Formats: sequence, C-alpha cells, structure tokens
Amino acid sequence: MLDFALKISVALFAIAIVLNLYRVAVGPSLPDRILALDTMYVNSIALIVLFGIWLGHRTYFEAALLIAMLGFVSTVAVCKYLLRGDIIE
Amino acid sequence: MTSLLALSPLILVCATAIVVMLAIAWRRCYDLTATLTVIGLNLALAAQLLAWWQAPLDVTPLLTVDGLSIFGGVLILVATLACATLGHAYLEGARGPREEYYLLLLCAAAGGIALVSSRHLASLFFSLELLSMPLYGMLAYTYRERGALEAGVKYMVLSAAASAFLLFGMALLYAFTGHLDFAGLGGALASAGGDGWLLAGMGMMLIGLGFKLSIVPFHLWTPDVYEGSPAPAATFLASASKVAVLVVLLRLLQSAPATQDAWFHSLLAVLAFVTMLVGNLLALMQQDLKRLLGYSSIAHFGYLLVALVINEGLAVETAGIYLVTYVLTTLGAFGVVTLLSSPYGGADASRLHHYRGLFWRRPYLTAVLTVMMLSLAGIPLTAGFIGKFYIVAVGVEASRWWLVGGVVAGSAIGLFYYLRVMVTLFLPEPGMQRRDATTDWAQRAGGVVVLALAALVVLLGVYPAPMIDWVRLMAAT
Amino acid sequence: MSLLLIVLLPLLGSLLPSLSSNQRRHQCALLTAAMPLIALLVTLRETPGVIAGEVPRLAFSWVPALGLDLALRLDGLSLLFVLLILGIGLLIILYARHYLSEADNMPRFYAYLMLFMTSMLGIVMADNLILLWMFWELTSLSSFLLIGFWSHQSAARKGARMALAVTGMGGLALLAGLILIGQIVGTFDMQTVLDSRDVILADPRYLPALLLILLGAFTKSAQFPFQFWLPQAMAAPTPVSAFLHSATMVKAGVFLLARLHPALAGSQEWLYLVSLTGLVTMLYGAYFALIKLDLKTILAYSTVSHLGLITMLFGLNSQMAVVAGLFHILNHATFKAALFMTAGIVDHECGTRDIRKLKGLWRYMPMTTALAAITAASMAGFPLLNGFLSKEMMLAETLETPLLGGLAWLIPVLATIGSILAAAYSLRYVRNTFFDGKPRELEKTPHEASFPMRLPVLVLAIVCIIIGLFPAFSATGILTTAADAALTMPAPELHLSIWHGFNLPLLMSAIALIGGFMVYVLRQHLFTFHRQFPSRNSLAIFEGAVQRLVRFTQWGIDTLENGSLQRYMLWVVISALAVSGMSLMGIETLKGELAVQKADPLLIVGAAITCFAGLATAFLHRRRLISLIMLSVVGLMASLAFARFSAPDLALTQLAVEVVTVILLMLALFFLPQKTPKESSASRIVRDVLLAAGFGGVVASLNYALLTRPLNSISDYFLEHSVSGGGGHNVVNVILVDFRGFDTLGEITVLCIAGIGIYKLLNRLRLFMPSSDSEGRPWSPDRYPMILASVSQSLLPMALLVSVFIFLRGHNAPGGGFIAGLVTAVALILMYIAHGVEWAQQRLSFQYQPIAVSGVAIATLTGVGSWAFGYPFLTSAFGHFHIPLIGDVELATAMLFDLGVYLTVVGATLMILANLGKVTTSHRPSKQKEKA
Repeated sequence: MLDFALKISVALFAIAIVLNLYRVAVGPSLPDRILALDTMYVNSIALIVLFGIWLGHRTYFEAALLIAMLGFVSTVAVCKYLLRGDIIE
Repeated sequence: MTSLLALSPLILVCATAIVVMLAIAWRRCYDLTATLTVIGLNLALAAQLLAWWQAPLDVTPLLTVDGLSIFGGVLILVATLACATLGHAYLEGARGPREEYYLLLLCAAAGGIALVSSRHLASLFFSLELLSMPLYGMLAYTYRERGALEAGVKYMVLSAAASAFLLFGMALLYAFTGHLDFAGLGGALASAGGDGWLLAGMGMMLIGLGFKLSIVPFHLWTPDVYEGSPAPAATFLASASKVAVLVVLLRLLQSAPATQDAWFHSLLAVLAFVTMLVGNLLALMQQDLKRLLGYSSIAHFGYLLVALVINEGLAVETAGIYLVTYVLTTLGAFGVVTLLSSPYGGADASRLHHYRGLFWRRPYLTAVLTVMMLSLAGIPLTAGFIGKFYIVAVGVEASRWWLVGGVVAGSAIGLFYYLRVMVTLFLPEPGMQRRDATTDWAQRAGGVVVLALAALVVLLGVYPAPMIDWVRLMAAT
Repeated sequence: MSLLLIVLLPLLGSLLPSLSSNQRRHQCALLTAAMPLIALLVTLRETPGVIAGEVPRLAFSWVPALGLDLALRLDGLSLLFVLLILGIGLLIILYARHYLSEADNMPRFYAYLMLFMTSMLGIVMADNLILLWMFWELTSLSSFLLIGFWSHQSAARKGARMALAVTGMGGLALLAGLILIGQIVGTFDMQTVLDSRDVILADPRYLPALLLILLGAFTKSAQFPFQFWLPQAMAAPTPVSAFLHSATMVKAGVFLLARLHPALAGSQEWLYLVSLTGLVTMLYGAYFALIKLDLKTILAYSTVSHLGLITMLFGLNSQMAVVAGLFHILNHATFKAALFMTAGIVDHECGTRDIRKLKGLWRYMPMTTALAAITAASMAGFPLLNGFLSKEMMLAETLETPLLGGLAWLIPVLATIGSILAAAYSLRYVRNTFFDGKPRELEKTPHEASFPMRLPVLVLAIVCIIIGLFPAFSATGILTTAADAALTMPAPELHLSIWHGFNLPLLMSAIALIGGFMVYVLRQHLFTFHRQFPSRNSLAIFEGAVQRLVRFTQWGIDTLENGSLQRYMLWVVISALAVSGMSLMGIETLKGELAVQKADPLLIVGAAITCFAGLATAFLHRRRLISLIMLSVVGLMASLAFARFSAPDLALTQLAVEVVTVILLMLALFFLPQKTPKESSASRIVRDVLLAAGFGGVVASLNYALLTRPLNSISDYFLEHSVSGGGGHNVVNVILVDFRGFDTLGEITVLCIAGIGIYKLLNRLRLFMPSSDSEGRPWSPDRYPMILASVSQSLLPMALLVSVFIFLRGHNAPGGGFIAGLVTAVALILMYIAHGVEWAQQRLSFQYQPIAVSGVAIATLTGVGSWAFGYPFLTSAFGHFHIPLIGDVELATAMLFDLGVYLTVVGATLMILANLGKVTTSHRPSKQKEKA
C-alpha cells in the first residue's frame, strides 16, 4: 500500500518540478522565474523526504533540512538584487 | 642521507625561494634579493656535483637522480642564472614591485629541476604545474604593457587547456595499466602493445607536452607570448621550460616503447616534419626579433623531435648535444635583446628596426648577436653546427629520408631570415629614434653573461670534445 | 706542418689588412700579399716531392665523436689547385689595389678575399670528407660577403642572397651525401674513401649518395639547371668575379668531381648524369654568351659553358678524359681570369660594360686590346694557345665515348656545336668591344689603364702562350701528378703536343673555328630569333619565387595565427579531437563487460531536466540573470542526483555551495552589465556548436567506455578500513580528514590564501554602481524589508544549532566541518543582507582573517601534535569517552582537524562575501581603514 502511495506521490512531484521548469523557462517576467525556482526547491524537499521513506532510513533527512533552511536565502538574494541591485548595503 | 644529498640541488633552490620570500617580507631591497637569488642558484649548481656523486639513485617513488636528470638540472640552473642576471638590469627601470620576479623565477626553476628528475606521472604533473604557474606571473610581470598582459593570459588559458588534456591522457593510461610510474607503464605498454586505449592516452599526453614544446599544431601561442612578454621572462620560457619538458618527454619515450607502435611513431614523425617546415616558413615574414626567435625555437624543436623519433643508437646523445647548443644560443640571443631593452622603459626593443646599424654603435654586442644567429643557422665553427651535424648524421644512419630532407630544407629556409637579421645589424644608420643598450653594458652582470655565452658558443664550435664527452657520460648513467 | 702553413697563412692574412687603413692602400696591399706569397713559396718547396709521387699528409684529431679530423693532404690534384689559387690570388690582389675606387673599403675587401682564399685552400687540401664540407660552406659564406661588397646596390644584395641560397642548399645536400658515403665506407678519411670504389658502387645507397653529392657540385659550379645564380653574381666587383667566378669558387664543384672520381665514377649513373648535365650546360651557356649584352654577363655564361665542358669530361668514364678535364681547368682559369680583368679594365676606364656602347677601344687602349685578343683566342680554341690543346683533347674524347650507345655520334656533334658557339662569342667579345667603329655615349674618355692593372693580364696571357707553345715542357709534369691523384692509378702517358697529325679532332677544331666565324657574321639573325623569346630575368624569377613563398606564409599566418585566443583554442581542441577520435575508432566496442544500471522514470525525468537547464544556460547566456537561474536549476538537480546515488555528504555540500555561489554571483552581477552584446556571427556559432558537440560526444563516449569496463577502484580499501583505521562510519568524512588529511590541509590553506588575496584585491577598489536597474526603473527605496529582517533574525540561532549538530556528527553520519562551516557562513551573511552592513558591523565587530588563519593553524597543529607521540604527521587517534549528561561518545582527534576546517571555511567565506558586500559602503576595505 505504502509502495503504491509512494509511487503516485513521486510521480506527482516529478510532474510538479517539470511544470516549474516550464515556468522558469517561459515565465514572462523575472519574479515569475524566481518564484518558480523557489517552488522547485520546495518540491525537491518533498522528493528527498519521499526518497528517505522509500529507502527506510533517515540518512537524507538533513539534505531536506538544509534545503528548507537555506534554500530561500538564494531566492532572497536574487529578489534583493532585483529590488535594490546592491545585495549587501 | 644519501637521498638528501642526491636531492640537494632541488632542496637548495626551494630553500633559496623561501629565504627570498622572507627577505622580501622583512626588508624590500632589490639588489639584496637579486644577490640572494644568484647565490642560491650557484650553490644549487655546485650541489649538482654532490648529486652526481650519488647518482644513479631512485630517491622516492616519484623522483630519480641519474645522469639525465643532472644534465637537465645543470642546463636549467644555468638558464635560470642567466635570466636572473639579465632580469636584474632589465627590471631596474620598472615601476611597482620588482623583487617578486626572482621569487617566481626560483619557483619555476624548482619545478623544472623536479620535472627532469620525475619518474612518476604524479610528479610529472605537479612539477609541470610548478614550472608553468610562476611563468604566468613572469610573462605578465610588466602588466601595464598591453602586450605583456595579453601574453600572460594567452599562455595561462592555453596552458590550462593543455594540462587538462595531459591529465586526461594520464587518467586513461592509469585506468588501463594500473601503473603511474614510468617503469611500470613501460612494462604494461610493452605487453599490451598497440591497444587503442593506451595510444589514446599517450596521444593526449603528447598534446599536453607538445604544447609546452611548441610542436605544430600546438605552437600557436609561441610567437604572441614571446613578443609580448618581458625579455627575461621570454628567455626563461625559451630555454629552461623547454629543456625540462623535453627531458621528461625523452625519459617517457625511453621507458615506454609505445613509440615502436606504427601509429604513434608515424604521428611523431609527421609532427616533427611539419614543425620543422612550418617554424622556418612562418619566420620568414617576421619583423620582430623576439617573434622570429619564437618561430626559430619552434623549428629547432622540430629538429630535436627527429632525434626523439629515431630513438635508437646515438639518438639520446644527439638530443643532449642539441639541447646544450640550443640553450646557449637562445640565452645569448635573448640576452642581447634584454640588454638592448634595459632598463625597462615600455615595450621591449625587439623590432628589427631597433637593430639597424647596431654594429656602428655597439660592435661587441653585435658580434654576440651575429655569433648567435650563425649558430642558430648551423654554420660551421659554431656550436649550432655540431648539433645540426649530429641530427643529420643520426637521420642518415637510420635512413629516415623524409626527416633528413625536412632538416635540410628547414635549414636552407632558416638561412634566409637569420641572414636578414645579420645584414640589418650592419646597415648604415638611418638616424631615426632608436633604443640602445646602456654604455656600460659590458660591465654589468648581464653583459658579462652574454659575452661569456658568445665565447662558449664559438669555443664549442671549434672544440666540442669536452661537451660531447660530458653528454656521453650523462647519457650513459 | 707546411701543409698547415699553406692553409693558415692566408687566414692570418685576412687579419693583417685591418692593421692598415683605407688611406694607405699601398701598404694595405703589400700586407695582404705577404701571406699568400709566403704560402706560395712553401708550396713551391713541396712541389718537386709531389711531382715525384709523394703525398704529404697531416692529421690532427679534432672531434673524434663525429669522425671529423683536421686532416690535410697535398697530392697532385691539390697541388694543381693550390698553385692556381695562390698564383691567381696574388695577381688579383695587385689588380684590386688599383681597381677599387676611393669609396670602397680596401682593408675589408682584402680581409674577405683572404678568408675566401683560406676556405678554398681548405677545400682542395682537405683529407677528411667533413672537413671538406666545412670549408665548402665557408666558401659560400665568404663569397656571399664578397658579392654583396657593394651593399648599397640592390642588385648586389639580391645577387649575393641568391648565390648563398642556391649554394647553401647544395651544401646541405652535399653534407647528407658525404655522411652517407662515410657510412657506406665506415670512415670519413679521404684516402680510405678513395680506395673503396667497389664497396661504394655495390652499395644500394650509392644512387642517393651520388645524387646528393652531384647536387652539391652542380649548384656550386653553376651547372644546368642551377646556373642562374652565376650571372647575377656579376654584381660583384670585377676582381671578385675574376677570382671567384672564373678561377676558384666555381671550380670547387668540378674539383669535387675530380676528387671523388676514384670513389664514385665508373658506373652508368655517373656516366649519364654527369656527362649529359655537362653537355647541356655547355650548350646552354654558349648560346647565352652569344646573346647577352653586358661584358661580364657574357663572360659569366662562357664560364658556365666551359664548366659544363669540364663536367662532361669528368663524366666520360675514360682516363684521358679526366686528364683533358684537368688540363682544361688549368687553361680555363688562366684565360678566364685574364678576360675578366680586361672586362674590369674596360669598365674602370669607360664607365660602362654595355657591349652596344663600347666600340673601337683599340685606339685608346692598344695593349689591353692585344691581351684581350690573345686570351679570347685561347678561349675560342685558336691554335698555338692553350685553349686549343685542351679543346682538341676534349673533342677527341667525345669521339670515343660509349655514352648514349647507338646515338653516340650525337656527342661529338654537340661538342662541336658548342665549340662553334664558343668561337663565335669569343670573336664577338673582342671585335665588338675593341673594334668595329667608334664608342658611343661613353661617360668617361677611355684611356689606357695603369700598368699595374695590365700586369696581371700580361702575366696570364704569357702563361697561355707558353702552355700553348710548349705544352710538353710546361704542363706535363703537373698534369700527370694531378691525373694520378684523380684516378688513383698511374695516368696514361701524356703526349701533349700541338700537332698530332691530320685527324678527326683537328678537323672538328677547324670546323669550330670556321663555323664560329660564320655564326658571328650571321649573328643578327640569331639575335632577331632570340628577341622572340620573352626576356626572362633569372633574378626576377628567383625573387618572384621567394615573394610567392613569403605571401604563402603570410596567408598561413593570417589564417592560423591571427592573434585571437579563440582561434588558438580552436586548433588545440581540433587536434585533441582528432587524436582521441582516431584512437576511439581503433577500439572495437565501446561498451565494456559491466552491465548498465537500470534507469527508472524519475531518473529519466531528472536527467532530462538537467540537460534542458544546461542547454538553456548556454542558449540564454546573453541574458545573464536568466542564465544564472537556469544554472541554479542545474545545481539543484545535481544535488538531487547525489542524493539519489547514495552520496548524502555530497548532496549537502552541493546545496550549501549552491547558495553561497548564488549570493556571490549576485554580488558580482551588480557591477557587471546585465546583458552581453552579440559577438559571434551565425557561421561561427555553427562551427563552435559542432566542435563543442563533437568534443563532448567523444569525451562522453570515452567516459561511457571506461564506466562499463571492470576496472579496479580504490574505494574498497577505504570502505574496509574506515572504522578500524579512522574511527568513523562516514567514509567520505574519514577520507577527508584522516586518510587524505594532508590534501585537505592543503585545500584549506589555499582557501585561506584565496580569501586574503581577494581582500587585498578589493583594497580601494572603486566600481561603477548603476543607479537604476537594467530596464531603467529606479531602485526600490526600501533598503531593509521588514519581513526579511524579522524572519532572518529568528533563523540565525536555528541555523547555528544545525551547523553545530552537523559538525559534531560528521565523523559517523553525513556531515562534517565543511558543510557546517558553510551553513554558519550563510546564516551570518543573511544578517548582512537583511539588516545591512552597519547593523552587522556593530554586532560582528571582529575581522575574519584571524578566524580563517586560526583554522589553518589548528589543523596544522593537530597534525604536528601526532609528532609529539612519535607518529608521522597527521596520524589520528580515537577512543571512547564517557561524557556526563551526554553518554558514550566516540571521539577522534580528527575532530580537531575538522574544527580547523570549519573555522577556515567560515572565515574565508565571510572574508570573501562580506568584503565584496562592503565595497559599496563606507566600510570598504582600504589601507587607511586598517591604520585607523
């Protein structure tokens, strides 16, 4: 049962990432692209956790933790760049 | 203890580098730095005798001290000494920090000495890098000149690419033989023979090493880099770095009989032939003496490759003798260019019109340059003739007619442009703006070195027996 | 010893003129003439012995390794030539003294002349093949100096260059040929070589050696088709032409033929190659001598013709022919030198050498006319003069030769035609210059030359007459010994006399004279015929060829080496592609024995996304921000791939580095243009894409091939020993800090140095800051958005906690100092971004350099610490400890090392990022700041 659920969730998240990629590639404005990238990060958190569930051990948990904690920093940097140009001021 | 004695030249050069670095950090004094460098290099040269005492000796799995490495080491140290003394006069007029030049020179010399002693792919790679990286800095030392900056960048980018290919080749060789040392590689190659992988690996390594030796078609950087860089750095590039790489290539070919395979062997022969012709042909057009010397060095290494291709009988001795004559001649020719451009005042005085009528101003300097040109052309009674004779003899003995034809044709073409330089020296003065050497050039260290080189070239041309005996002795160990 | 004197005295003589000066010409000439005179006396002293049959030899070992000895011999052949060289040389010195004008530098001229004389003597007396070649090259060099003596004339320079090029090339070929002979025989010693004819002729390398040596001889003696340089060399001063290009240098080639005759001659190849070349040259030269208009050019072509005659005689495999050839060498030297000197006299006195302008000079210079007439008659083969004798011998030999078999009758016919032409041009020379009307448009009034200038001509003319009238008495002795040497067997009995009875050769000589006269009378028809040919100036052709070569190389340079770095890279990559591609093609199958891992759909999707993003990065490279975003996608995919393929440490590292990289790039992008201009044309893009795709494909194939082959890897060792050797379950971390700890130490040192270097480079760096964004909109006025500030502030303690956690567990679970350091650094940088530099500076008031340096120090000290326990550098120890409140912990000293790594990473990253960020504020790094 878990197997079945896992397979479907992974498939859905994979499709989500593909759609994010589409938005990054096409997105008419820069904020669109940046948000799509951030969403991609979030989706990958999910993928890693699902992978950990499938394997049955927690080795990859920290990877997800790091993405969650630090992933937004790169987004923040890009957004600040768009807003002010100078990131650190 | 014996290992330390055997490695003493290398250790001394590295120690000198550290001492110089500390001296620069403590108290910046140009003359002090230069003196320390020269003292250190002389000590290292004397230490070669100590090393010779211990030879042949495998010091670590990476290095070996035998006749060939001592031969290479002596040549490199002599070339470095010449570059240091020439650089001293040259950099007097440079703005900005001048002492670091000697530091870079010492590091590069250490790399060269390690390279000629290496018998393992790992030491080959890191000594090659240790030789090349300070050169990036040296070639761009007078970075305010656009030419120097361009020379440094070009050399750096292309050298990095060549190193990448070298590494790839080494990786392939390791993957398929499991050995990284030359002896092991040789054994594996002998048993495996013409396996495609091994040839691919050797071919890629040849690309990397061929770049440093300016073999066609990897020679494209040579004229631009020689032209733009400051003359003492170009001198080092033309002499010491080429000697080091050639010695290691010789060692590789000696230990790895992959050259017996038809494909690789004919590849080398074709490269040698093309290099000789292209180097000489492209030199016909040049108006800049350093560029001309760059192309001529390409041609000379084509001649040397002939000896490497033949690889039997007298080939090793031939390569050694040719290297000695080449180093002496190159040091002399570049030395004259450096003296004429000293002290530094902008771009080097290397265009041919700077040399027009030099005889009427500086007859002895002209005599030196004339002797060097004659030696490069291979005229009898100069050292260059001895080297060229050896190459032709080796080629004829092995019945490699195409290669001999290439040497003959290349020398005939070479006569033209060397003659053009010599004629320019004696033309009547035009009276336009020109650069000149300082009046007391003969009393400066650089001038003494250059005069000594000219005397040596003529002496060895007339009486080459001691040199031949020495090379024989080195080749036998 | 005296042999050495003969060679070295003229060498000394080349230094003596420099003692004198251009003003004291008499003294200069005397000084110069002294040495050759002494040498001549020495030679004369040796002469009786040589004629009696001795062969004095001398040998010093010079370069034994090359087989080169300083060995000299004086046999009959050498003696003949030495007497010629020294005798005519002395006469030339006298002649030149009065010929050279005030402007010419006499000491320099004499020095070059003596140098040439030395080298020529060296050639004829050399007893070692290589020594002969060395002197050969020296003659080329010294003749270059002499021909180009009037260096202000372009014709002289070009003529000198062409002469040197042709003879130099021949010289190199000669070297190869001589080395080959040396290898066939086994030594370079001349006597041994001369005795080894059978060995040489039987060897399969005979033909190549012969061809090479003939190439050298023919270029030097201006045989067809290499004859073109000799007329151009007439730009030299006349004494030079008289000496070099009639008597000595051009004779070097035929000397070589004579010298090597015992070793190489006798075969069919020799017969055909040498005789036919000689015959063709004889006719060619004679024809052009009749057509040309400049006195010296006429004489040059006639020299070519006579040299062809001599060559032909040496080619005919008969002994009498060799004797005839030697005789003709002697005769030709005497009359040709004399004729050149008369041409020089005419030129000197009249100011021109154009035969159309010079007429009827007999009125003004009767003695010169007489002398010219005598020597020209000798050239034509007029009886009672020496030319007649050797020409008749030549004709006699052509009758007997088996050359061309059934067509052998052609040879005497052609030889007779050659003699006809010779008579014709000799007659033309004399009559058109000295008779036939009055001179036209002369600059100077001609008058008789000074007696010292006529004296050498007189001497030579007397020699011609004596030999012509009393051949048996004067010439037999020397000729016999010379022939002995050239044949290395006793020569046939020589009966040189004027009258041999009515026979065919006499008839042929008579036909030659009469025919010549008739041709001369009818010469206008010949001229009209010749005018139909387009005039071809050989100098122009040569220069044209050189220019074409030069243009070709220029084209080569422009395509290959236009100074563009991209072009150079292109060639390097193409060559690498060729090499690796070719070797790949030599491998049978690409895929090896290992099975390929199965690919599930997620993997395929991930791979597709990565490829797409990578391509998009390249395609969109001109819009930088979008390209960077695509790059982030690739980085994320890489981390996910690491996670999928069981490399958790790498995944963590990649994520952390990804974030730091983005921050760094954004910092830098602010100062750089947002868009790149279009730089490549469409065709260039196609070329680059193809090349890159090709190279990528080849490398990918190589990787695929390697991955599918079972190869030993080193990972087994580490997997086995990580717990027992390093005390940790995380193999990657154990490798980093324990097994390969030295490597890591080096890396953090580099990181620290890079950080310090960047800090120094930012010193007082002033950069352009755009005041609006790329689309022109002004920046938002909100510097520190509040949401970001609050969220980041609460994030900081959590991040630090996570960082310590990752650090502590690194040895046994995914983690480690590096990742922990990066996390800390990112968290701190977030402070800078969210709150600004001022705020952060107040709270983080310390410098970062000490942190980084202390990190390196701690790592080094950890390694050094193991010395204290007697172990090698960086040996780690581990053990179990019980810490109250925490429990059982397994600790290793490698954790100290990891601490060093952690501190270095934090310090260096902050150094780089924080200082880059401060560049735009008042806290930018600067020297004054440090002092304050």
